[in-house]
Amino acid sequence: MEIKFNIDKDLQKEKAEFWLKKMTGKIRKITQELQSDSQVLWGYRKETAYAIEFSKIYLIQVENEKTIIYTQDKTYLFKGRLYQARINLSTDFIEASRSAILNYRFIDHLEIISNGNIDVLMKNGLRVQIARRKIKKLKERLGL
Amino acid sequence: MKHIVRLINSGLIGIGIGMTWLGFDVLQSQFSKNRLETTISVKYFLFWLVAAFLIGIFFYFASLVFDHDNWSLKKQIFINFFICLGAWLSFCLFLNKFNYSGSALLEAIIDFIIMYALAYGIYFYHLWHEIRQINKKLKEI
Repeated sequence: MEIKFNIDKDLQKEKAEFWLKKMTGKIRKITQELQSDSQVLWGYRKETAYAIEFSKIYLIQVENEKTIIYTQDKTYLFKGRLYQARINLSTDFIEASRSAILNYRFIDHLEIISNGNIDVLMKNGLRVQIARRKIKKLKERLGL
Repeated sequence: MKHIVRLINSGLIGIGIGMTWLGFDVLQSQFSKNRLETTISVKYFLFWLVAAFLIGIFFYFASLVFDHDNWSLKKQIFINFFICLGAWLSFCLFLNKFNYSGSALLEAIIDFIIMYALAYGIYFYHLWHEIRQINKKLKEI
């Protein structure tokens, strides 16, 4: 796709225009991201709410029916379901499985483990299983 | 719609593999004759065309086992193997008009194991290659 930017500091209102053959999920997601002012998720630690920037989130995972947000060295409780957290997330996030969403920018490497499953090793040492059918999505995001 | 496309794709892959298999089988049976003059009947060809398509579709359904993310790959392959083996043996029995013999059964099982091992050998090589490619790209960014 050809991408053109017109940068003008005197512009009164910023706008984006797409010329597409058809609407795709990827474009819809980018549109949502452009229209969304919120770049944070609200997470709780000891009943205190924290605004966690998307760029600081490594992983969001369901554990014992609770949705947990992982940053580099902290964990927060997200008071909602995983799909609710996913709605506003940026395109840096991909589904690793039905119970985990990860930020691909923080992936260190992937490993095929002895039982044949695939683990993602995050840069902070977190280990999360990725479903084989999600590998295609990850490859697309990496431009492969 | 996505599932219908995948289903048809799987059927078409079945036709591809089935027709290659049929071609080798027919040529092998004409070993002592001029292979350029080999012919098969339209009825025989159509039967295998439809059978290969249906086998391809069956493999699509059997592969749904792999959507169970909470099962390990070993468990998924184990279950998938026996589902496919059961279907393959039923198909072979049908071809033999339900005449059962120990040697025919053994031959069908060995054929299946070879096909299955080949398919999964290719699959795992492809997977290993994909992971290596992803890790290489991750190191670059």
